[in-house]
Amino acid sequence: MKVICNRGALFEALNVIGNVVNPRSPKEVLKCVKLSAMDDRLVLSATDLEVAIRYSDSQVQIETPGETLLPADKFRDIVRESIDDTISIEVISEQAHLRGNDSHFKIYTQPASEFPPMPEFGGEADFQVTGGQLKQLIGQTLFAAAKESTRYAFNGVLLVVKNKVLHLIATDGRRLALAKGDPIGVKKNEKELSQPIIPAKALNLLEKLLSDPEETVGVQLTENQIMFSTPNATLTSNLVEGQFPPYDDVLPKESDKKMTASTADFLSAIKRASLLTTEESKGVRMAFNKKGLVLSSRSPESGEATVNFACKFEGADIEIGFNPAFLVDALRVVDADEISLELTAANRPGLMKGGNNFSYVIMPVNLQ
Amino acid sequence: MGWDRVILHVDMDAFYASVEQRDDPSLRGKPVLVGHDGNRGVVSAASYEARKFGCRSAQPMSLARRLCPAAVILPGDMKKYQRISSQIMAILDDYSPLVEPISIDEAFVDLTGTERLLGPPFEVATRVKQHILRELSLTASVGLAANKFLAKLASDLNKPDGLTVIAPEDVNVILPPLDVSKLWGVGPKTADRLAEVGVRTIGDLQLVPKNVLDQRFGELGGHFHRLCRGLDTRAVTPDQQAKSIGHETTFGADLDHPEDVRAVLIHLSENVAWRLRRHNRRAKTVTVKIRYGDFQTITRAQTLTPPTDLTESIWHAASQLFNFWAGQSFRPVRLVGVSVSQLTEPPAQLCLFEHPTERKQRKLDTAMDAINTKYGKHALRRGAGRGGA
Repeated sequence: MKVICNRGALFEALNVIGNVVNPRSPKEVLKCVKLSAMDDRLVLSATDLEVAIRYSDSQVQIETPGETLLPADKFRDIVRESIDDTISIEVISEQAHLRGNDSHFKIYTQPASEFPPMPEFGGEADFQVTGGQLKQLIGQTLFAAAKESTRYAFNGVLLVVKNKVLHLIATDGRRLALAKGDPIGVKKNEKELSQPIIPAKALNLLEKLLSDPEETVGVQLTENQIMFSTPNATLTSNLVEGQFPPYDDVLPKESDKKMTASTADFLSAIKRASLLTTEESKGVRMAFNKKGLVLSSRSPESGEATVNFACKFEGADIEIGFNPAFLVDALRVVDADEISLELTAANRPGLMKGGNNFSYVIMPVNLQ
Repeated sequence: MGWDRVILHVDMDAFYASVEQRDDPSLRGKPVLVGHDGNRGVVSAASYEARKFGCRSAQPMSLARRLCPAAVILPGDMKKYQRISSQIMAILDDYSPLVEPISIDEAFVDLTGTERLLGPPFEVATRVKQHILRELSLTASVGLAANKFLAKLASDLNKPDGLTVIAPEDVNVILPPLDVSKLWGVGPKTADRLAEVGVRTIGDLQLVPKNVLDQRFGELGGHFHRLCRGLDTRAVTPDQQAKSIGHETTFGADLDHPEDVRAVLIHLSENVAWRLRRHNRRAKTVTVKIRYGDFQTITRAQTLTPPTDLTESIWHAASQLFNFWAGQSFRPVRLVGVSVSQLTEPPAQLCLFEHPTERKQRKLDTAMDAINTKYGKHALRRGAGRGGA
């Protein structure tokens, strides 16, 4: 195998797929990136057996087709530090020679045949969505997923296509984010589409992969896998097994108290009110009345903070506590200048909305 | 002044000496002194038989020996007393989450507001005494009053095995004739200084104007002024630093069958979880303790994430630890114990989706706690015969 690559394009490719590789994997081949030089392109593949990415780099010149496995970390280091515009990669009897103008690296390869087969999906996509739209939906939900919950469904994001609307939903059991978007075309009868839970890691990688907002992303589902394909990459992932909680049941249907405020101002008020909170602080106390909102917090070590926030509030006075970090998380991703916060009682969930496509349910903290 | 609070003071009678008499029948009815029997030894406890001869705790052993040459002198076993002490505190824990141990054999229990759950305070006080006697074969003197000072005073008025109530309306009858040294904070030195101004009884002290007391005793002046009128606002503060909650059982004869031990383990787990919930704490670690016939003792611990106060979770962990041990190296068991440690507060953050199983278990625990609080601790228990986790 011999191929000459544009260094910048190769580095970008390695950045995207390098994150899949688990450097602590006990299997040597799983620490590697697979290179397949064919026709007019170099295909780079990586997998941790959970998520797999295949990325086509077309800014290459194929001298001799072939395949090899290179250790991902060393390969990426060499390409990152390279001062050349192009790098040539040549494999001669299980050794890869990476050459620049003044450098020559010889690294030991692993046999390409030992690399686990990449999942293959036949047929066409179940639906399509633009890269920009998908990226926004991921950004508006992924943060709310749990990190390492024993309830596995919380460690992923639920995907639902309903009434020709694409929904992503994530929860860690204390707050829930729901974002809606428009798929370009739903090929299958949507009733036949399963409702997969996509692991957080896969969506993190997918977010990095989506660089062009205009590109079309195909989404295809099987019973236990999902595939996202862009013009030059595919990402496949196993699905999270488990039952996603009944998210529809916790979306507050009616509320008799409602605040409306500028997103930026509300974010600023919460950030300031939470400056003195610590791990032990129970949260920020929010007292709503006709005149607006008083935010206050207290921490035994540092002191107390009060912020008087002018906003529109309809309904009976209420005092409720929230974890400020949960509110900040949502206000950072809401794509609207104005948000509303609907409340019912101090021990009932609040519902934040930004525009028509973003809903965020948040459970209060007990202030006592 | 009314019964705005209900405080019980529990004081074990001649604690160390009574324990020794309990454990060695040949000592019963005889004068017993616990303490180091050397030239500089001091009496730690004197049985009531020895007190008739004038023996007292804190006396030099040489003097006590002269007063009562027939006394049996024992070196004492602090570990044993400590263990029994925690058993006493565990019993008191069943009556209120507010238990403040003030020494190895004394504690305050705040019974305020428990009347509806536990019954009239006088009956509760009687039950506490019976409970200690039944479980530990030891007697306690208890005092019942509206504050700590009066409760402690009451338990001291009628020893041993007494139950004394100082009702708010009795304060002005009971206090005046008592010696000032009965006041909390008045030791021999202060008593002497008070005697200099002609104050010998609490009644005398009541007549001294506050500014005079302030002048003579500084901050303590105000304290004496309130105490001699039977006023004391100190709260019963349970040991917030309580690092663990545990129960253990020693068997009359070593248990040969794992199933028999498991049957006990489940009850111990229930008790521990119940106390956790009463203290509004969650535990991160569950420890099982096993002692063999030869006193060799092993402990096995497991960490729980997230911290829990559910009986089922604690029993599950204890049962797993036990099964693992029993599967590998079962030997007849003399003692088995369950304890929880690394205690935390329940999370303030409310849940959107409680775990369905956890929700069921919590409902079950709440229902069982309500029944057991109303009808007694052992009214409703998990079946010992079930296979379990």
